[in-house]
Amino acid sequence: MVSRIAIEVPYGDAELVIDTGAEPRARIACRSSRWVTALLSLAPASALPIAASRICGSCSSSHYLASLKAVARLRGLESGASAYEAAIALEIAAGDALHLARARYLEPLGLSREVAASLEAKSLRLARVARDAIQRCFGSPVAPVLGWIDRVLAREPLDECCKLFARSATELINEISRLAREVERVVREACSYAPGAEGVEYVALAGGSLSLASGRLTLLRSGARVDLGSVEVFERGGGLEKAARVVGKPARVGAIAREVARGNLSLEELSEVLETPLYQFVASARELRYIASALAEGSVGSVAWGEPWVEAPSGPIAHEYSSLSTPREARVVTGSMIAIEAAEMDVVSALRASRASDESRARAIALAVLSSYPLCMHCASL
Amino acid sequence: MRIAVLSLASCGGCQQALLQAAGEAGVEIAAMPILGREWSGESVDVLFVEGCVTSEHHLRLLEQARGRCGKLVALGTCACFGGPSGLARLGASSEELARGSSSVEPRPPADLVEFDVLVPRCPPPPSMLSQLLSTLSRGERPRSVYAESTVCSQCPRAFKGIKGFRLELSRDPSDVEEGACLLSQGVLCLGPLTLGGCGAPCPAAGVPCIGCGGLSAKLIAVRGLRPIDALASLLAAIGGSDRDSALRELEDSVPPHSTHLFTSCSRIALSKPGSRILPLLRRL
Repeated sequence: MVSRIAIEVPYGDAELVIDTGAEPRARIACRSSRWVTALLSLAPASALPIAASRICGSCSSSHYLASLKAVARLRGLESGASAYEAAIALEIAAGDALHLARARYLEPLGLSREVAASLEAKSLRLARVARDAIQRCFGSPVAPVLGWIDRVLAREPLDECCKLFARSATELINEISRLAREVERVVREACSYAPGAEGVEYVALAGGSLSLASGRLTLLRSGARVDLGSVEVFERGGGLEKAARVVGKPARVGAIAREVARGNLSLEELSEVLETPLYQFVASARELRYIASALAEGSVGSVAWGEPWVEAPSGPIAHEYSSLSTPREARVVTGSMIAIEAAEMDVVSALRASRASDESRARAIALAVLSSYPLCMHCASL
Repeated sequence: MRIAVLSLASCGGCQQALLQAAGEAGVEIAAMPILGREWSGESVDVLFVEGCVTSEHHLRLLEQARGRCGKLVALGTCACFGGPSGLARLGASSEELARGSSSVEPRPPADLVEFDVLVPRCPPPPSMLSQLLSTLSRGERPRSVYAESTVCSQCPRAFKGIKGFRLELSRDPSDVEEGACLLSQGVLCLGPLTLGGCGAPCPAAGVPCIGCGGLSAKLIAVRGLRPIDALASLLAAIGGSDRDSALRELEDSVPPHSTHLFTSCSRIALSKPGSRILPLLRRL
């Protein structure tokens, strides 16, 4: 039995399709189009980074940097070093620092007012240092830099900025490390991302993008690396075009989802337990530590993706241009595709565990599971 | 001062900027979706509305907003004029509506309720928002953004007239003359149509303005003056041709919405008298 469930994402309408047959399936697709392509299609090549940064405010710098890279390559320019990867790492670090700045608003962390305020101030300062570094070397979505290609080729200012960031990060990182370890323990015990079942590994979600950018996709529990060769690009269809996944990845168990399906956990309890920002806090702290040390050592490394693939904070994005002046296509894979795929898997787990044959119950279970995922889908609604 | 953000159809970019500004200004954030806290109607001193109205639910939220705050601020170009979120209107009459995927045509909140402060730009820079928060926390009235002229007024490039000038949509600005106006060299730069105050960083760096600040005060205030008309007048002046032929050429060469992409779902662009922004302009 196939049911179509309308869901709302920030930009409009999406749809969850569930099949409660012998082998349950779930699929999320975006139904709204924002026509951002109208903006992209009018921009000459040099303005593409500026236009593309409007695809998403949370990932604006990543779209900007991706477009810069695409345009530079169209002109036959290569940075020679991993300048873009360093810039993207800085951008991800800025995003992580902003996540940490939100810690004062996360009651479950139980931070004292003073500690929270200090953490916020330092995190915001760190975010500024990271963004200033990008701005100085590459410009920004709202303030491009004249001659950015030369700056990239020269590489010197970027190296200097990376080291400055690493130095600035040290103090904050020391402060958050202890806190992050404690929070991580709490989160591991509490939420469905935490490994709770035997033989189950979880791919880092918020941290996944960096680990991809650095060529180190890590598993959250063991910290073990996933070989990038096992990451494949596949067609999703339904307007989502392409996505990436880890081949042979371990199945997600979705402990919380199963508990909901069994009726052991109410929706109210679910929202209390599965506090996604908590998880993000942990992931951000871990990621920030990693970036700072990588930038300090100058070892961010090259991205192992094919030509059009560039990392975004929440997943890979693709910009494809066929000529210098006219974008043939500026297609962006949904930034939240990792979350989407995780959500789909959790819905399937819940449906399988509940063996719900009644349509209304299956729909309720699917929606309950989905409510714990902050689906963004901005990139999916171009 | 307690602030909250009501986020409608938006990309979250303005919230990112506000979060940074709020941290620096030391204000209390009662609700902000990117912090995991949706605004649920509680009273606050300042309520920022971000994004475009695209659903009945958004309309209901917006109706609640006015009475639950001391000051109501339209945050970003989407809230003021539709912005990138309002681009969906370009396709709303075709397959999107046929599929029934859009319950309400995108509308900027500023067309639907009266705001105390408009903060266009995509996104507004954190420094500008810090200043706004400080002003509001002192109980003072912020300076209107419409005191600003166009982007061109701050652009360091020099305007020059060129006989036989033609606008080339696909022309890449990388081969233009340094220091000279992009538009006068055939590049479609929306600086003369766009609200200034940003410092013109894009054209200064050789990137044409895409109009993210929304239309200039003059374009909003002058009844009957369409963005494409204003651009045609300029192009006629650059090329030494007459305005009507410049307008015909423009209409033939650029899509009708290309001069006001960031205001494409606003009544300012569609029918100016209906806009609630005009009273704000008259107060200047």
